[in-house]
Amino acid sequence: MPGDMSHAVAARSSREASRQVDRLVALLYAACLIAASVLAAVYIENLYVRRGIQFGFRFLSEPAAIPIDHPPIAYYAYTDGYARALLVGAINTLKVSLSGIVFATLLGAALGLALLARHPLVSLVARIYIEALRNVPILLQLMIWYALLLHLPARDRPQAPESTFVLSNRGLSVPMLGAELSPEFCALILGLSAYFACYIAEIVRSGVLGVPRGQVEAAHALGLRPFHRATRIILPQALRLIIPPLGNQYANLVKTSSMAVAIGYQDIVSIANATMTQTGQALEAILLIMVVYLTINSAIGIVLFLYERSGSNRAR
Amino acid sequence: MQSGLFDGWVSSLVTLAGGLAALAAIFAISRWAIFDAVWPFSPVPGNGTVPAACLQRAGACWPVVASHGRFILFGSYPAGGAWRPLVATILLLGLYLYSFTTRLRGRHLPLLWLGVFACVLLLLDGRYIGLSRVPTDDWGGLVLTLVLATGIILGALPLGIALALARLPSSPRPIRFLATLYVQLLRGIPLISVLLVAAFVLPLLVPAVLVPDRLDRALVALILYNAAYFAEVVRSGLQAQPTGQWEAATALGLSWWQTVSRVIMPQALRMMVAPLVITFITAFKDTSLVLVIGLYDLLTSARTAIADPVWQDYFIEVYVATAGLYFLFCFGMSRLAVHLQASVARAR
Repeated sequence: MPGDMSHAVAARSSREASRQVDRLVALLYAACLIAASVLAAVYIENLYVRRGIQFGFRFLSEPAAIPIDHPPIAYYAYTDGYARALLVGAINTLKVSLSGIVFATLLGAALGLALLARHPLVSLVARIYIEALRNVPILLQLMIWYALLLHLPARDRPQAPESTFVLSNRGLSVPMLGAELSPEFCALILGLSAYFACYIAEIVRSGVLGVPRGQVEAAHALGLRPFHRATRIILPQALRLIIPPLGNQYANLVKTSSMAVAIGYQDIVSIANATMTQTGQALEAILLIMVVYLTINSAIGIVLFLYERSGSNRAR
Repeated sequence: MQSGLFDGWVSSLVTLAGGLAALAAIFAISRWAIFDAVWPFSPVPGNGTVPAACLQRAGACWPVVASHGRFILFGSYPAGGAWRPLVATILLLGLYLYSFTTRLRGRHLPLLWLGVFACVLLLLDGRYIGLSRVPTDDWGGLVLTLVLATGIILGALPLGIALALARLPSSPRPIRFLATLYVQLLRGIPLISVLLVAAFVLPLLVPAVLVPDRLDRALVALILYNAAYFAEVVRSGLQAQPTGQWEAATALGLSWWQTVSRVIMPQALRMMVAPLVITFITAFKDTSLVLVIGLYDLLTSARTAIADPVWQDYFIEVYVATAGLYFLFCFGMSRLAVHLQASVARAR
């Protein structure tokens, strides 16, 4: 039948087309591969010709001339290698990211609930806070926090051991716990948590609003008390809506912590930057920065993926 | 009682205490910013010192902003040609306002954006239109931030659309893989690392005489980075189109390209216009990171203005003014996004 014929012709021509596409794709792959190798070769050659530097990671074991304040692990500048300095930087990044995540979540949850409050003044204040902070670059906010902290009065007398904490232009010190937080660290935590709390608040708000109205009414009808309504009915269902976007914000926060370099906190970017200027190994240092962030963000991604696959999320 | 301000004693207490605190805050802020402040254009001593009024009064010292105004808005652009960045700023602001008032509709918008952007570049550079040449390293301030933001839209949006198309299920698997790899990789690393590549690695990839200037390198980095984010938004818009649209277009005998460009993409873009604006707001704020590449954008110019030891104590005035400028842009655009979202929801 002619219909069958045309069908067969169409099938053949589509097979022909797909073979052509395959050929094109193979060509594209080859082109990408060649381009990448040419670029790499050009880079390595130019690095040697113009700067007299050989590409590679051998510099990692050379002693690093990077003094680091309050290193979280034992580190001696001029004796320890660049690898150790970069490790200190990575740990500092982790430290600031994790503390930022904790505080941003607490503040964000409070703000999100404030947005939902029936009291108009409460929700208005939360709304003003969010709009004011969300629409200004975080980099500018970090600079403002840092400048404010540096303009605090100096610590004039030796700290009394009984005082719980002392805030001065040298940061926050908690004599009781023996903790000393640098102004850079404090500014970074303040800035990151104040800024990301805005985004987290919106997520919490839409998560709670996303719980079907009938669920709340049913809880009412069953005679559950307000506290149990919130913790047993609304929270578990809202969490399912909240957690995936929350994970995205955590990843954003981790990436944004790289702006620490602008106020002099010694995170991985700052240490890698110093490594770059001292050794000239630019690409290597940048690759290490990327690896650190990709690792942290992949870890967040994996946790999210596992959560989304877990039973608690599917029980809907 | 309906207002919720006085439902029961807890609510009344919150209203009273909160209201008082809010009034106190408004009072304190307006005292600092207005009543106790020194007016912006009160005379500044010629010898580069702080006006005496600023030392006496407790409020804000606005002359610090006014006296650095030109630097904050135009960077170190030569004073004689200050009209050029001014005209450029007005052109770009006009472009943004016009696009917003037309609610980003109209097929002429892409051409209009390209045209205005080209005019702005020609005007600022000057050498092709018979004016003195001003190298891009001297461009700065607000106008540089606007140039970067406009460049991002013109570069990253088309690239993002292309990436989103490359990730469609109908495209060949290897291409899909490459596009996915690109998007996921760039979304996993901070912008600063891409800017560092542009600053330190890119110059070694081209012959020494062809090394692009800082502005071009920053733009390349910003475009490559933001394209990944635009791609994700466009992709979710494409995914939201019902398969019936594809089938109907195919049944009408449209080719793949016609289907995408005439049927699917217009609907996807219209649906995602608000998230695209939100993504652009983030990109706009992130242009402030070009300070790592050594460009004097709005934020870096402001920061440089107060690096002068004479004015160092008045950092807060300059930061507040700069934050206010960013806020105007970003808040305006976020209102636009809310508006667009509402009209998209109504249309459905």
